[in-house]
Amino acid sequence: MKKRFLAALLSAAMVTGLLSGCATSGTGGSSDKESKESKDGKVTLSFLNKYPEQPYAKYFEDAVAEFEKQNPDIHIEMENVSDEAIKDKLTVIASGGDMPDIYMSWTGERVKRFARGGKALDLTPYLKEDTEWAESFLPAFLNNSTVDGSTYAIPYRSGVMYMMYNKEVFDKNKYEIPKTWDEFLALCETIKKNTDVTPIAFGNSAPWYASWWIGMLNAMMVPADVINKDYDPSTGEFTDENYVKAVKALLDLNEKGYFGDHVNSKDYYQVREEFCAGQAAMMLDATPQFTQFDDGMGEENWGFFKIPAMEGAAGDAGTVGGGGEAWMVSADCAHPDEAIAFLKFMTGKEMSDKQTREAGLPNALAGGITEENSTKALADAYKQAEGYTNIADWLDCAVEAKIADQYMTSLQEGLDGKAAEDVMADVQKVAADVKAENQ
Amino acid sequence: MAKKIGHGLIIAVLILFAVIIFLPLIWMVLTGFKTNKELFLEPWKLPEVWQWRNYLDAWNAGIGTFFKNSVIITLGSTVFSTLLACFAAYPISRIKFTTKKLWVIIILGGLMLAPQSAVISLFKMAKVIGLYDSYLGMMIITGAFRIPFATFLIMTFYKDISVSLDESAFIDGAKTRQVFWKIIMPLSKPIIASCAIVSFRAVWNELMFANVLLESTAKKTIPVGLVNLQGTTTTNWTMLMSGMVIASVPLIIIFLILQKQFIRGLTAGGVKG
Amino acid sequence: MNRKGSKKTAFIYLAPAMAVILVFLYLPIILNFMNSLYKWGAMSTEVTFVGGKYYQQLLEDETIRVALKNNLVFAVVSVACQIGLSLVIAAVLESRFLRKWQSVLRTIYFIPSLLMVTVTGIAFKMLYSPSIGLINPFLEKLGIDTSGIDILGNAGSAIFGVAAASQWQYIGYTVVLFIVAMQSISEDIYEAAEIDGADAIQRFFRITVPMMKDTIMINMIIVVTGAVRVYDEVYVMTNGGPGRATQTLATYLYQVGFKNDQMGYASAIAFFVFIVTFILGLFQMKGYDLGDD
Repeated sequence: MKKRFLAALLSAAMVTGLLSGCATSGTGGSSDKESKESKDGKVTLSFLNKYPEQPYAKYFEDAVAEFEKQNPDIHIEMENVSDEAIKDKLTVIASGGDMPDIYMSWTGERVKRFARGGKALDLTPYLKEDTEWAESFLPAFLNNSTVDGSTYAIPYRSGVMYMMYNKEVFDKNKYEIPKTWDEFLALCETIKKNTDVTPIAFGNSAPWYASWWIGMLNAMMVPADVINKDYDPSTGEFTDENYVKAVKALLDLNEKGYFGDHVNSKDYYQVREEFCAGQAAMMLDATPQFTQFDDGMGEENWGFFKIPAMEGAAGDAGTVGGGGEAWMVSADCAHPDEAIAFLKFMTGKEMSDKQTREAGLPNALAGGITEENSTKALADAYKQAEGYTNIADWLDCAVEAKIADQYMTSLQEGLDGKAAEDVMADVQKVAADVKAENQ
Repeated sequence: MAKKIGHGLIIAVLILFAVIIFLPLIWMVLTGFKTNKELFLEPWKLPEVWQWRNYLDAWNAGIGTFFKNSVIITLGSTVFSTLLACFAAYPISRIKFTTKKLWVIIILGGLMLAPQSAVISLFKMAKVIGLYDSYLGMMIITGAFRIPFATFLIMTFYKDISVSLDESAFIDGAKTRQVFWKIIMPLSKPIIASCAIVSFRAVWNELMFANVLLESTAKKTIPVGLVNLQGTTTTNWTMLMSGMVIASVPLIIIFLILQKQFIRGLTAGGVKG
Repeated sequence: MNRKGSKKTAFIYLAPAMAVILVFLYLPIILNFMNSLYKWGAMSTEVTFVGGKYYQQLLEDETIRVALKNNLVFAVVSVACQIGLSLVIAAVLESRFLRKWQSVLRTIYFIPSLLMVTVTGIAFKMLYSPSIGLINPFLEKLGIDTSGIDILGNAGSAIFGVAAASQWQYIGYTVVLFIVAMQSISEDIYEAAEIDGADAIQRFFRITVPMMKDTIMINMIIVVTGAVRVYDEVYVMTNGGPGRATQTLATYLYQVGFKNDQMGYASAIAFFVFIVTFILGLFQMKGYDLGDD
């Protein structure tokens, strides 16, 4: 009896001893990350992706199977985790030390933080080696994954923001597509006055939605070099007064009632359904969601237009809001060549084409979206996007996580009455902390 | 007469309360038959076309695949935690020894730990000792968090079992082991049953550890499968709703089976009084 | 009792549970405390010792204050409903004239606690919505001006909305736990009291409550610590918003650690949660019969 108790204690003590060794090491060395080569010489690569829902899951499963068929020596172990869960999961995995060989993230800061943390392989040599591959991407999406001139992620899905509009509402009232911000505001006013339709569908109970708006408004209203400085965690201050103007522009739309009532308790889904049902005239959204509008209201009943230009605004008129999803390779990956081969396969012309056609996910290739592989609307959207020179990532992906959190929190308060100056004051305070930490 | 009216009033209040509890439940089941559009535009009407497909799709996408995993992990965890709790509760409630207070405080302290605060450390630990991405790891870790409450629940029950029962057994020369298995455990069925249902529901619905500690799709549990139906812009809420309704059916069945054990199953002699 | 071997016997029975609790519950907390003394993040390569800096930051953090207030609201509401109200409901259900109803009623009351919090969250979000919900129209029928009422959208009311949904879900849970405990109280005592002329209310306070002291205590601890670490309900319904109005310690800890990647600070908050719950627990335990010699 005594022996058993002692044995239990002993094993507990052993475990304790084992663990205390790895107590505080944030980047503990990984023991099980040695070569995963099995006896038959097959290479296994782990792949963390974010498409567990249909129809996406099927496309990716098929694609992986096709790759394995063409490369019998490589086995891809794909895990799909939904985008709600993957952000936390990546953080947990990163804190544990070893990343999956290939994993997805969002272009912008969410890629860069892995690069800065030494979790991602510098892909520049591979892109330099295969210039044809490097040049096949829409430059804006590839460039958003660059830290100090090195590229760390390969984009596979692109998103460009447009303003969706309900054709029936527009046709019935003979509204014209607004070209400038003033025309846009005037249109909102007209809609509000003359109809019982909400001018713009906007729901912010999940605050990422406002971050889309503000990311776009910042790009329109803040000079590009100021943005570049401020979005970098080591130099960001957000003291330029144009940021306040951008917040004000957003809050004004709310105060004038263009967003309807109770924006903080409505969520994205609710307002999208309202828009689809004709209860709202316009809605800001991005190209990957085009299929949702097709499903929700029928292809012929909605249209989109470029975000109206703001005259005299300090921002770069060639920049549009949007963002991409990209794949990264772990810095510890034991078989980078095989991983690159897989990425080249997945982002090649053939698979990109399929990805867009079968899953409806717009690829990130230059000229990759055509009427052959997608809808007319999507092809048209990408044709129009050729006029843009730069992509401003969704704000929650573009700036450092703490700053993004504060931005979204304060904007939610702003929509509840907090002044634009105070919103930015909150952001500046956090940005100063972040800057100090990153010196 | 006044008493009758009083009773009638009490019954009416209780039934009203039951209705308040029940209506949202019905709404949840009905919502599972709707489309996203109906959910967000006319949430309180009956579905125009009953979307049986939602339940089917939810089963195929999130539940059916992971059902086996959930059953294995939940059963394992429940048995593990309830059994250890039965052991631990025995000396605390029925044996006198000096350091008892310390052990009680340690167990009680376990009640106070927020799983969120332990998740990173547990993740690292699980990796080191090979419990990562395994059924066993999930059973032990989710079970560990159930032990304190289960121990306390069982302990209060043990205390109410008459001491004379085991004392007379000891006088007859029985070993502690025999007393425990032959006298205490059979009498404890009601508490074990309620303990089991309490642990079962907690582990069945547990999401955070399942999400963090399991990696391969082949081992994921139902809640993880359901979260995987949620995308930032692509969620089919009504299908999700139907998935969650299906997921709770096994729990309700188990509750209905186990609750028979709660009902006046005690012999009068086994209860102090 | 076989007093001679009793201490050894006691340890043999305690050992497995203790080993599991110490390794899987306490060890992470100790590791966690160590982690809270360092500045580290999942993404960063640097680990710097900062000592007690995060604990100082914690005391100055306004969101912590908001979170504590919200946890307090949650605790008070939960104790009132899940202890007070539940106990009354359980006692009433145990009355003899209700025995034949009990099974149906307690089953209905219990079912919500079997659901995932997400379902409850979605249902109540819909109920509360000022545009499509049912609460506002209902209040309007009562003659209340609802133009300013947006339960989850207004910073002042959101936490109460979340707490109310949680009560809907869990009242039945404690009702059943109380019924289980009440069933071990001998009928004889009630009968004796009845003969002495005690009415139902007197019997409730003089017999039921004292006899159930242990169970009430445990449920109290469960409810209070549950309120201090409440996470799911808030996450699903408001995710801490609007602004930070509904942040609780646990949601804030999660936000800081997993979203903002300030693992050191998150560890400090986690340890703080432990300390708060531990002190509350000890405090409540004072009245508890530990059964020590």
